[in-house]
Amino acid sequence: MLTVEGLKSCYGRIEVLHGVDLEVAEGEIVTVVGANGAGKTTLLRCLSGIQPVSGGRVIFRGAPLTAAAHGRAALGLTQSPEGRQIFTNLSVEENLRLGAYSRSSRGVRSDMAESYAMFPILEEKRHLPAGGLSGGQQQMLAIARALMARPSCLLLDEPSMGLAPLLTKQIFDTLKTLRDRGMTILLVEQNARAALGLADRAYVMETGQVIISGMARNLLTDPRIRDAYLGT
Amino acid sequence: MSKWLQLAILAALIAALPLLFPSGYYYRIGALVFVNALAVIGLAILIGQAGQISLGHAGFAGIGAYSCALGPEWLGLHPALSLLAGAALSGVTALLIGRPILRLRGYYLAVATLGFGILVAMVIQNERALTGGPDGMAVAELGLRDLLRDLGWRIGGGEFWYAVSGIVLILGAWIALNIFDSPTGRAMRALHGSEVAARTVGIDVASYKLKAFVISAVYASVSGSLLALQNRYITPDVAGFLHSIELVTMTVLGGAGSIMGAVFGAAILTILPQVLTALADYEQLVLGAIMIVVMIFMPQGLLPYISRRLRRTGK
Repeated sequence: MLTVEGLKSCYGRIEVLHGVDLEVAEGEIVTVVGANGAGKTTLLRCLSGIQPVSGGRVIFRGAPLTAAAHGRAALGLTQSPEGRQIFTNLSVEENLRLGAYSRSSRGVRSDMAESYAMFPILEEKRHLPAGGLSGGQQQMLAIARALMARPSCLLLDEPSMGLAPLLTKQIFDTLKTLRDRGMTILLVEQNARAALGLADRAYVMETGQVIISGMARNLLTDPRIRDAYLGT
Repeated sequence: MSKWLQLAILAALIAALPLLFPSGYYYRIGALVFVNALAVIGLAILIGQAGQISLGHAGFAGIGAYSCALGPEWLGLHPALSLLAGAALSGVTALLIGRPILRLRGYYLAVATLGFGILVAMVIQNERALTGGPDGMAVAELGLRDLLRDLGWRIGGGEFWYAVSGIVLILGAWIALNIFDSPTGRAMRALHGSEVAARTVGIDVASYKLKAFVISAVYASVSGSLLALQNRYITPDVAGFLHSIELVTMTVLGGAGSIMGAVFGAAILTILPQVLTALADYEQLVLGAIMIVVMIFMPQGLLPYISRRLRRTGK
């Protein structure tokens, strides 16, 4: 579904991604874990087109990904950006409607009903400004909004950021449900334990490179990872 | 409040207010309010919806005003056509300068638009042979009143321009309210909230900023044209820096987020100086104080504040 080959990216003159290789197959959850500043978010920003790429290439559904950032949602690649980035001044429903911006308006209503079924609290607050939602609700909205584009691959940046453990679990359970329905998910997470527990495969990034990759289940018990990222 | 209700209230106010006018002079003030409100509605789209600032929109008002002055004088164009030509010229100018300028954000965008406005004012001031320079120039009569008189309907200049500006304002408000609730308006409000998120849902941020800039430029241009046509005389002040600031202040004071707030802000800042002339030397002081108080206690603007208050007491 998504193949990343030798991806490089710079902030100014400083290269922060030094050739990242990564593969996401259809229907799996792949997670990228790593410490702050490892380049995880930069990687996702490159995939969604917000960050310029200086080397390597990205292949999405068999074709090189060269569309501008705003053209990628229509291709089926949708990102839920870091820090949620919901439209705080718009209502919950308007946020969802905007999620479907890049596709035809047919079926928006039923997709919205599905979002509400997944996150009932959003339906309760659908006419309120999204800025008034709690952190967890905002995260639900960010995911629901991304799903409104009917993506074939969902990019999630730190969905657990700033959330209580219980809410994190709820969000991750939702991701599991989505996978069971056939969604492909690339999940960038700092919460390595939760991410590895959920994902099929995982990549560990450090200073702009992938240093370890493998089945998520195996990485959970890998001593190198236990020491550095799981703290046990 | 629904779109049609807002428009109905606006139309009713415009139609009913003359019943309270003690003299013909008030028609002139009313027409001035409508003309300013038109430019401010444009800015409400740019500032309130798309979240982009411009300190140079008087430049577009200047283009509109001088189009109506120069078109009939030098090209033999009918004043009404000159108004349309001015609007088109403003739109194209906004399209050309907007592309590079709107890459800038915040203060930088403010300074760049400021530069544009000053540039237009300077051209108007210095091309004496064409524009009469700082002395200004006379503007041709629109001719519609003569037409009405021939049809047997005599109407005074004040009343005529009150009606024309009022109708154009209602039209402008109707278009703006439609934009607000359209996918275009939602996209503008979205990029105002978060440009990154707007791009991830598929909104071409640069193109929507440009759209807002062009739309607001056309509003300002028509406003400038109407001002020139009703005053029958125009000076470079219409394109000046102070006029730009005035327009932005009206937008923010009334409530940049709402179209009716824009009309309200324009009304207050047009009428207030007339009322405050009674205070003579203290006029500017009081005006300044009112603006500071509004911005501190009602940062979202007057109209949103008032309507929220009303809703709360209504419950």
